[in-house]
Amino acid sequence: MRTVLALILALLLLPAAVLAAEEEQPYPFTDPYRATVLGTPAKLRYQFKAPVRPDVRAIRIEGRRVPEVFSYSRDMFFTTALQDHPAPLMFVIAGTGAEHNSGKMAFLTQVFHEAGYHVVALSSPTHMNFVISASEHGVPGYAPYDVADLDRVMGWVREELAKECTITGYSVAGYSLGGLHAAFLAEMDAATHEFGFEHVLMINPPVSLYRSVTRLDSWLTEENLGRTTVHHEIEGFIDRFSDYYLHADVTDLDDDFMYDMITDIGLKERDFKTLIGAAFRVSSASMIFSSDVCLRAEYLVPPENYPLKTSSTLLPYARQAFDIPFESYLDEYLLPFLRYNDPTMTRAEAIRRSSLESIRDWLAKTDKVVVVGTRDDVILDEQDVRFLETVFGDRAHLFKHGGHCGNMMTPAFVRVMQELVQP
Amino acid sequence: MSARTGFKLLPALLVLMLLGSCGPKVVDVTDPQAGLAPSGFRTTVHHWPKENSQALRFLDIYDPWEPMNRNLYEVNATLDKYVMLPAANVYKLVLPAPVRSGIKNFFANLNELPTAFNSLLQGRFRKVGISFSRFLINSSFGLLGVRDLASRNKKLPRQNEDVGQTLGYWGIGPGPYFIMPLMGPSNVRDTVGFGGDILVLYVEVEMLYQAAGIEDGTPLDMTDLVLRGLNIRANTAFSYHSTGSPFEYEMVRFIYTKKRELDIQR
Repeated sequence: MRTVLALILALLLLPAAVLAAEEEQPYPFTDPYRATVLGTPAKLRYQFKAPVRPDVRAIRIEGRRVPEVFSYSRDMFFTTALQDHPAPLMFVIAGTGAEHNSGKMAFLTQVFHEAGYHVVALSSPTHMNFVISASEHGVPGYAPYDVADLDRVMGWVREELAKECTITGYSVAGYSLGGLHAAFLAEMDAATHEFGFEHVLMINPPVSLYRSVTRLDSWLTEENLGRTTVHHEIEGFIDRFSDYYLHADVTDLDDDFMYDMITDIGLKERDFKTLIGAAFRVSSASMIFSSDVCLRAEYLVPPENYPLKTSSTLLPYARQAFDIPFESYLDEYLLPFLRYNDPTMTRAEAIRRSSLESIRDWLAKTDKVVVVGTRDDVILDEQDVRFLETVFGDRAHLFKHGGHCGNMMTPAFVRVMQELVQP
Repeated sequence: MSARTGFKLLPALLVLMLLGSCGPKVVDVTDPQAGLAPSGFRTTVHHWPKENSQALRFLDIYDPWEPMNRNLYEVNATLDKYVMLPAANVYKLVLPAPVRSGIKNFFANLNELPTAFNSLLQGRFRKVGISFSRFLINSSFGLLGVRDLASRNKKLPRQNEDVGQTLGYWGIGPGPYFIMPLMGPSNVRDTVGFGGDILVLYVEVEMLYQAAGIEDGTPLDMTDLVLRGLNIRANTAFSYHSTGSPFEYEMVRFIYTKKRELDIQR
């Protein structure tokens, strides 16, 4: 089954695992798309002096209505890595569709534990487990709702952990979409003083959720693919991967094999864009389907097919969900839901409220929010990079190359992260 | 402590590990707002399933027993979460990494003979040669297989052949997809093959007992079974429902089927 996982990883293109590193070398990829897909090669990753063994815990909301087909996702899972002495607590929030213990999150857990924090790692509010087990509305992708959910969950976690360790203060960090959530949490906290965050770290955040995801979606359309379809492209990738595997002299489909395969197979920029777009679509399809089933909103599942059971066939819904771009989700599902709750809501307002631009003035004057990222991040356009530079000034540490979170595991990047949040 | 009491103690220790372990710690919270009560919201645009949709065609796998398989998948996931995974975690906590890698190598070395045997049945003599050489090198210079010296030779990469692959090699199709209780994804051919693998292993172990002059192998068998299980689980990175996708069953089904198809061709 290890090989099964390895292949899943290849399909979703999430680089993981850690191997011994010796000297520090510069980050090897100047192509941002390649960097995003390949991440930091195992040999170049930061090595933790004394890695901690994190625990997985869960929160269960009593009386919550969870559809049978998702009964395995009944509890909201999260990771903790505590110090054995009084320390401040760092909440870490995952990126779009990512889980509390995904490769990047496990890495960040170690980073902040090593920096001296008790660490709590939370799944993204766009991850199916969060939608099913903890979200108030069950409709992810609108920042104010998602941030309110995170805030509530963080309160419960704080209460629980206070019983077993001494917490001397609070900070929050997040990567990708989680970075944007961290900024909104901090802005909210500035008014309520509930946590009194000392450090707020955004790692490779989008500026506007809408602009970033429509950019990712554009790579699955004619603009990038020309006349072929994403389905043909994926089948093409599977054939190329299969052919490589057939002729490779390997026994373990480990991360090294995945890395060699992706580099040897000669993928072009267009292919990397397709893979990034497809990986995003896989997670957004999961999110949309989970939400629809929880709400019985009839978006993907016709009313006569309810209730979905553990034994129900789901592939027909996967086919449909994979073909829904974020823009359609916004116009056909998210926005109608927001209007159902508040008839005055407009499209422009929903987009604005999921963008850092809506809290620009606060971000410009607070000094506790800092950014670490890359100038060639594939989810940012020129306007977004300019926003980060002008609003944050010295508080934005942007590396030249690294794509979207590609260089996150390099020693240089880790050093910046740890220095910025020094307790 | 004699070797014999040691062998009896080990399974007892393992049972203790299983009893002492459980899933993650769950905290109950109350929040009337977060009950996910029906909101009454319905979309006006629908993306309902279409007959003969061409999308994600590669995910189509012959799975006539899907409802039963999906239930078995959940049973396995629950067993894994509450028994196997915690036991494997204790195993990792109790035994230091070098000991665990020794155990891993030891079992991998025992598996060389069934691999050689299956390669022989497929008439792939190069693979027979590699597996058999690996067995000889590791059993002698590698301290009964605890060290994997053979892999240092680039010309001797570990081979993987089992009865399911042999059946596939001789043209037997996979048949319906099937989730084996406890063992997970399979198909009818590979499930039959799995029975064959057990038989081959049994014969191998009996031969080893005879060679070593052991009369009653039962405690050893028990230890072998439990350690083998722990070794496999501890070295498997996959865990159920960790893909973050409601379509994990479909992904795993595709990847299992594709990988077996390729392994048979290799």
